[in-house]
Amino acid sequence: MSKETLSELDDVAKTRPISSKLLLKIFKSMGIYAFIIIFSNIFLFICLYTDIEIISEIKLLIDNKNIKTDSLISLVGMLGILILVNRVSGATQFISTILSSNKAMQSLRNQFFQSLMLLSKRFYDKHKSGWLVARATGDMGSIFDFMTFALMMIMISLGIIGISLFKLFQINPTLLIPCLFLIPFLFLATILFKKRMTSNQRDLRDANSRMIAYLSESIKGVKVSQAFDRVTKNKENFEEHNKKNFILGLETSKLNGLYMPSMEFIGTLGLIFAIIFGIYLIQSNQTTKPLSPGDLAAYLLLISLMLFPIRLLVEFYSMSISAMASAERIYEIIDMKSEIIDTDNTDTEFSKNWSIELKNVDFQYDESEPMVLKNLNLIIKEHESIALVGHTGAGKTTIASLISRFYDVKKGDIFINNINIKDINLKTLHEKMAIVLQEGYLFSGTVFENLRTRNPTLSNEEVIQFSKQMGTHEIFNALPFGYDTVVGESGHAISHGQRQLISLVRSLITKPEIMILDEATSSIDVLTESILTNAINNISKNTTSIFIAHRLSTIKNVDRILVIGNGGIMEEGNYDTLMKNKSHFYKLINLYDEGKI
Amino acid sequence: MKNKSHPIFTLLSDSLLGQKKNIVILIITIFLFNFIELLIPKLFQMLIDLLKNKETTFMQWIITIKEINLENLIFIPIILFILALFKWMTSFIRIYYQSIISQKAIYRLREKIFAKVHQLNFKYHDNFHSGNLISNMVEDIRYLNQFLDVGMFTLIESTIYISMSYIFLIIISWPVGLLTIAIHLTSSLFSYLVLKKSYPRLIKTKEFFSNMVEDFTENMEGNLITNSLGIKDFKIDHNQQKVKELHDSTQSEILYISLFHQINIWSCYLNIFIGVSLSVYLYQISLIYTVGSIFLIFYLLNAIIPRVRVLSRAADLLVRTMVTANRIEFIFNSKSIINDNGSKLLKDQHNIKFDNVSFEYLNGKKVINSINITLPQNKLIGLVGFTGSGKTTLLHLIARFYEPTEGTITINDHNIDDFTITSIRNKMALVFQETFLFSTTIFENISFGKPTASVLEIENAAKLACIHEFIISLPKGYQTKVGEKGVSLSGGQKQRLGIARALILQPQILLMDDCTSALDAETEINIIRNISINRKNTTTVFTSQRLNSLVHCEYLYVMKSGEIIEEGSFESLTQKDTYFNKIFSPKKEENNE
Repeated sequence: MSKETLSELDDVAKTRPISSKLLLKIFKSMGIYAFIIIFSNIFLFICLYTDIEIISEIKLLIDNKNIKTDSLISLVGMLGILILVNRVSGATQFISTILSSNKAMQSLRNQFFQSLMLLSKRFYDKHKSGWLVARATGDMGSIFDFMTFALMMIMISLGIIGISLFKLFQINPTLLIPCLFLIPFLFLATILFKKRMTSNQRDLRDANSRMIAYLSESIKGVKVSQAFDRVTKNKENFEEHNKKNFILGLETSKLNGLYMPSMEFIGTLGLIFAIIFGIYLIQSNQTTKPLSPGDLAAYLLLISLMLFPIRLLVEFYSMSISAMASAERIYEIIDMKSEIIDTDNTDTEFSKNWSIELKNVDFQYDESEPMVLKNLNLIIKEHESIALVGHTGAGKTTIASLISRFYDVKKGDIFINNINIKDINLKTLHEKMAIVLQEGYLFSGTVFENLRTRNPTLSNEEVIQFSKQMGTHEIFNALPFGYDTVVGESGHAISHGQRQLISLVRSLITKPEIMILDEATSSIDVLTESILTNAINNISKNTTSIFIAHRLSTIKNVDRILVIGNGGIMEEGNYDTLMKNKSHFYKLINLYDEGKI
Repeated sequence: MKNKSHPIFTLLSDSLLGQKKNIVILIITIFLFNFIELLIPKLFQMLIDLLKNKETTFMQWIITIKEINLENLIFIPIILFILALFKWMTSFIRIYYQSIISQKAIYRLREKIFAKVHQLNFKYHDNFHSGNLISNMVEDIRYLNQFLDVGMFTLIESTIYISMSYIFLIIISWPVGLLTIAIHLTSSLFSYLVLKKSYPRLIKTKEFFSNMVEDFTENMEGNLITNSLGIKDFKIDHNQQKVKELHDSTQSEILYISLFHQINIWSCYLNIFIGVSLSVYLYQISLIYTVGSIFLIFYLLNAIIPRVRVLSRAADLLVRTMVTANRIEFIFNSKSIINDNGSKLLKDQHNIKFDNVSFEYLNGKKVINSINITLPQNKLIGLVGFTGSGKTTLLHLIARFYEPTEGTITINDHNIDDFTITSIRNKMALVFQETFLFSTTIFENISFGKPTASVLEIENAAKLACIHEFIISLPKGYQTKVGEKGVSLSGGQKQRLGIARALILQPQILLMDDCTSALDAETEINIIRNISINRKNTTTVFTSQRLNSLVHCEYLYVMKSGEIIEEGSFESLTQKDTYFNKIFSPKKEENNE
């Protein structure tokens, strides 16, 4: 696990300036809840304003010459009202914001998932599940934090600074002078520190994502590491990551530690300056509006009040810019257009003819890679069964993938029932097809649930009935809990072969019109396979079928065998003719015969 | 929240071990820092009182002047400046120690987690979806990191600050002090009860989050299947359901946590209301002497608010960390760890013997049932049987990934447990049914078990596994990266890399678990030939579903429902009316044609 290889996780550490375009997109996804969040800021301002008003009350109190004799009622009443308004509006804003962002998250998650489900295989070839899961957890989390806390805190901070300045101006405009000195100083210091801190934090996040990536991969491959006795070496590698994180973490928090007190120190210097200035003002009595001790008290309170938000602004700004980078990645996927989509004139109605035609088909997986198929022509008649044979990497699976429209051809056309495959509704196409792949991925759930994936309305009896027909009933029944055994990633350990059986039966249960079996029985023992082959042969009588197999016994009964190689069809015919030809197919078969001696 | 035994405390005390001195220094600094922090408003109060009344005995004592005039007030900014400098210094010391303590603790914790994960045996990993384990662990580490880095110190510092504030308040005016303390404590009790109630909800939300991530992961991994089965809409509905469950649970969690925060903040404001009103009243009846004291009381009560805010955020974080600590402790306490108590070193001779070996995974169903065999040395041994007959488990037992439930496996007449794991791994290699490749270069993947291997050794292993030609056809050859964002390999290519990875170890015991299923016949036969020719001194156990791959085997075992029911040479098994023949009967028919 070298260092550069984990680059795909580096983008966790990216930041991006706050852009109105992205904000607009986020708000759009949030729908009505965006309005609630924005609207709730009115309460926030009420809350903040009352905070400042409470300070004004204290100022009046201090300046009051008759405080010894005045009735307490007006003071208590005023203070009480202000505090009540403050708390009610504060609580309203707080709760409405997080409840709305929770709702907004729900719709964003749904939107994200739906967009992902529409994307083609080409997308999934490039983006592996680990990367996508990081988007759904890390990026979503940082957007949620942004919506609930960062946005709120930025508003609060700006609000406090704004209202305080306004209040200071009201008390005595000349008092603004030391503030105006103070604020640029604070921002300047912030920017200077920030420069070093951002680079430091970037390094830290980078190191952290590398460490997490290493940890994830180590867990995924832990069995291999144990089998190859790499545990000690892995620990050493992790130690390196861990140490780097330790050093960077220490540096970052020290830098942070240097920053915060320094800000406060500058703030206190401002205060000292203000006190001297205030004393001078009181002493000189030259201003049009004399400064009272109460004014000075309010002044001190307001300045101390302003120091905190400046700190918050900086903190939440960095949170926002990493949230922006997250949002960008999320919307990149949401806005992505799959190249495989239904055209406007897609057809959902079919006649009963299920022929397949490939016409002058060229295909390559990537511009940089060589052509896999070159000018391939192939017609499969309805209810015909064909087999594709050839060496690993010859392009058999590619042909199957093109017919399944997992990819679009680079050149040429594919017709099903004489309709261009691009004009067929994708969903209908896949519903009519059974594509069984070598790696039978099972979803978490019982065997029953997995077999029922294509048609959840099937009853247990119907499922068992079909399973008997396929000859798999005994095998499923013999699982620890029979058909109720939990399988899939988080379920019982079942063998590779059993997994293939489930995925095969799962696909065929809806009586498809086109059947594509790509090495679907490679891990199944020969006896079970022969029973299956009988069942499959029965099905294939009324189905257009394509078989890809390395074991030739499974393809002996097909109508036509095609030997694929060099980007096209090298030889075709039925078993007997091909054997007589003594060409490519004969050679392949001979390898088997050789094995039998 | 059973405070006595909650894992968070063990985790914390464990990760803070050996840092006693640092912690003591830190806490002293925090006290000092807060003391200065509280002296500053005291100074303000004096200033206001001076301006208001021009009389304060305390002030006169400090600056030792008898008569106060405004010019003398310049001492106040000077004292303030000195205090600010001290505050600055204590801040540095505080943060320096804070960083060291937290980073060291996090370091220890991460190290421990990583080591533990690698200690857990196959049984543990079988029961956990690795994706789930990863996302949980990443989350848990993140929370612990956050808590140790910020939360823990905020808890300590805010608590100290708030307590000192109240002591100050008592000194200024004991009625105000005591009353506000009473209110604060009462509300804290309530908010504690609310937080306690929220705990099970937080656990629920965490579970729903894991479920949602698990469903998401599954859909990403199984996307092609979803597509080919035409069940997209169904899957979207299903995921929406998971997202909704998470949302609903978060909703109820939010209500509780909000209530917790609100109780804390409301009590602060209530304290301001009562504190200010009461102090004005006390001033009127001359129990408080100066207006500046009223200011100071307000200042202190007001300054508590942001501390309470961060304190309740930290408490919130603490509870969330407690939830994650539960999960981490669960892993730490797991007994499913690899037993490496052996001290013997496995030497060259190897005579593997099964003595009445039985094995069951979890449910009491025997996967391996009383097996008694002695594997012939230096032979190519085939293991056949139906899907699910126990072949993989048998191989994994030899490799010591599991321990037999009954009976013993011996090598050279010593119990396999008596050898060190390392010495076993040095002599033995296993090729898995499914090849897991690390996202690094092909070169590093092949040399995974032998990082010191030379280029020649690697190329030789690749040649034996019939993958060399393919590798050099790639633009970057052996330096091509595989896995995420690297080149995507076909199942057969992966299997061959897996075989090369095992062969480079030059093992004396080679276990191959149906690792040629995705290969075409020609390649498969070549590989088997390479192994049998080049690895003369190796005992190879080979499982396959194909008859033609078993032809080269010198000895065969036939398994049925966890038992060995037949054994012998290929010829002897094919000649009689055997179960072996039954397994391959379709092939036999083919022979007869």
